Amino acid sequence: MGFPTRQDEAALHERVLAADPVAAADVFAAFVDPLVAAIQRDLRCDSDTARDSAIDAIFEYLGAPSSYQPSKGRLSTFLAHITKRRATDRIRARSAEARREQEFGSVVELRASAPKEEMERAVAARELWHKVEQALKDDGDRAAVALILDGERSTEALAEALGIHGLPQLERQREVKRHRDRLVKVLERLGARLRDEEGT
Amino acid sequence: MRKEPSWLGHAAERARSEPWTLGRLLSRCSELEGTSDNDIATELGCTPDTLRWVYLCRAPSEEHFAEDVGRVAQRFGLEASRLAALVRRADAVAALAAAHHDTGDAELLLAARDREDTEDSQ
Repeated sequence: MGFPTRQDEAALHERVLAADPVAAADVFAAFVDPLVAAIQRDLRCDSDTARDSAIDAIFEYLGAPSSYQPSKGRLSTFLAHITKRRATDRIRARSAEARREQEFGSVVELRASAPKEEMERAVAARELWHKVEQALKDDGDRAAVALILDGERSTEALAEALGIHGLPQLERQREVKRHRDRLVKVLERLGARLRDEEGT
Repeated sequence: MRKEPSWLGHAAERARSEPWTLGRLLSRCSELEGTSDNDIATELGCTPDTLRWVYLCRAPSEEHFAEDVGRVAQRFGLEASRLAALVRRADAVAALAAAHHDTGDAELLLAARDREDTEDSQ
């Protein structure tokens, strides 16, 4: 379906300007289909975008019909221009939204673990802890390693776990450091053994 | 039977938000009265598709009310008196809603509706 003739367009525009109440419906009937076809051909956009943009363009024109100046060209050209602008805006907005969703999705993926991944990680941690328990027979050592793995740096907490009591502060700090270094060595050896096991 | 274009529903839906359309006037009225598009179509004695075309028309002006209503009615095969009554009522409901909005008088719309109900039942 093509655009109305130049004369029909001009007559329709005159009726719109004269506030003929039915003219608006006639503009829709005359222009939506050819506008949709033209915009799909020119922009290769989907039919929903073309339809909504054509409807937007016609409402824009009908809301301010004097914005169309017949001396500058045909009404169909004027409406096609608005339709194209509206369609381009829609496509850009959708692309921006898709990009935002993708970026948001990446952040979520980085921050949140899938349930399966969490479960696998928990199983691996249990197996690893079992190896720590085999390497460290002392409960105090195990408690201190648990604190070290949790990122605990406080001398008081480690001293408590290791059962170091009744020493002056400086000596307690030295004692805790000595135990801490020993336990870190144990963990290093354990790590090296695990890497060997994985490598074999 | 004539097949209506696939875009008609979308355009009519969009017309509800355009202040100059009959779609805005009539749908706002049905919204305030708690009725549906089907109720309006029934009141006008037309199909829902015809009502969608009516929604795309410009609302009648005060100066040429009878003439404008007559044109819309003639084009879409409606009874002009029914359309005129509906548009008048929609105008009144819109004015009452605006007054209610301005004055904050919560009783105003209810009183108007009660009066309409009483008139209808007589």
